[in-house]
Amino acid sequence: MKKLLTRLPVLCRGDSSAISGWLDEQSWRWIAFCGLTIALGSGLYGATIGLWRAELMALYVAIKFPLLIFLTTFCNALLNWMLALMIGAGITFRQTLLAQLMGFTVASLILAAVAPITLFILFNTPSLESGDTFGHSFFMLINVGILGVAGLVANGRLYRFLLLQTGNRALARKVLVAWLAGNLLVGAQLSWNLRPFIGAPHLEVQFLRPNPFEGNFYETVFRAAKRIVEEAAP
Amino acid sequence: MEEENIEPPKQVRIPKDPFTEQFQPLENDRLFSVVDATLKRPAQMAHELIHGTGWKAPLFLTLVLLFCLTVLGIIMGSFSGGAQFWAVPLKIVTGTVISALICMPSLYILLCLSGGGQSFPQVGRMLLLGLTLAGILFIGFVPVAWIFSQATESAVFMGVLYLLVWGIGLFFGLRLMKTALEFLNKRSLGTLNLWMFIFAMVLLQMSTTLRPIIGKSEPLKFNEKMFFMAHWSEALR
Repeated sequence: MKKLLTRLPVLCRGDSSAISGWLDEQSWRWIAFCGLTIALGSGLYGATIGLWRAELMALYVAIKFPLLIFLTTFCNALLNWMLALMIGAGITFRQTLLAQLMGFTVASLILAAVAPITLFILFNTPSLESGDTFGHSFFMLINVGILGVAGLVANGRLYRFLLLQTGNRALARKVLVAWLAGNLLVGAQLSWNLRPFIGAPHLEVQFLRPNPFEGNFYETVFRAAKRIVEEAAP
Repeated sequence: MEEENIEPPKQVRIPKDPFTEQFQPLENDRLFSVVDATLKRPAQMAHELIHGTGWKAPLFLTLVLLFCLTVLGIIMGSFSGGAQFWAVPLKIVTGTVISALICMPSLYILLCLSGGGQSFPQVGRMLLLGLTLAGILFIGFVPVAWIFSQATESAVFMGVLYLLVWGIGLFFGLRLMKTALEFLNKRSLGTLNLWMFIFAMVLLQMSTTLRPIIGKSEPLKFNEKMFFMAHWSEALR
């Protein structure tokens, strides 16, 4: 365990020689450890988001946030491996899964590291029930920014892992774009199914809404955009 | 044609980076030597904190930091007097320590992501060195701040003055931390600028969370949540 723990700073630094060896390892211990780090890191950050609404919501989001990452990764694992093969990357299923998990591990570590700061911001933000819209917008904006930065850095690392495996920049870029497109497509829909993550103040705190599979993310975005266009029209 | 007698160019000694030159063990780790080295030869302190095995240097730095923050707090509290004499030093010390603890994990992760090879305790010691330098600089401003606090009754003016003092102290302190980490990793660490900005924001918010610091003594207002910008605009009105 201690040996695996010392790998986390190395993973963040993106030390090519070490990471290259891990991608070729046959043991599943490192994969399991990455999973554990994602569960703890993103769970901690998820709890700070949910806490804004209620204590029970903090617990729910601490479970749902890592769940969203795992479901996205495992739902897409087979597809991502096949896409990588078709593009010509020549990497194994295990390497595909591990590269993605390591990317999410870096993101989870960043999220865990900023969790004390978001908790502090939360402590200073007026509650959702107070009707203070500035606090609501500010907290949302901060979290979107943090998630964006964590995602960008994680994908930068994922690109490095792919470069290590393929040894070709253009190939690594193509595989990354293909994986990102798949993850975005599935991840957005899963986040819709697993809603609420914060929840509107007038709705009750729930693990899942009563109708988690009713409608989808893209339909909702389309309907919202249509409503805006219709309201703006004279 | 007579040849011109051209003097050979003088050997100009190009000074090395002062941090590189001074990065060597500390001669002795007595309290005043630690303070002296922090101000004059911070590279020696960085060497001591990274390679030294003794506990004295980190302990002395911590004590110096706590002392400096307490003194600054007493002077800040002297503006309103009364309970603020003890409340402000307590708030300044706890606020700074909590802010450092809140931001420490993100500093470590950012450093790792930038390729830094230091361990968590080593990064903590570098932050301690930077904060202690800032603290020592605060002490340099104490007489000036005290004179103004006795001469004016405007809390807004004193607030701006203390913000300036904190800004200058933190600028030099955090710059030292960044220089030390850049030297140790032999690379530019521009991402630390982002962390310094976050740390400054957390400190500013902490000053609002623990309010009042400059004004008259009042119970803490933890339930009255407010952002520092809103608090300042309210104070200015």
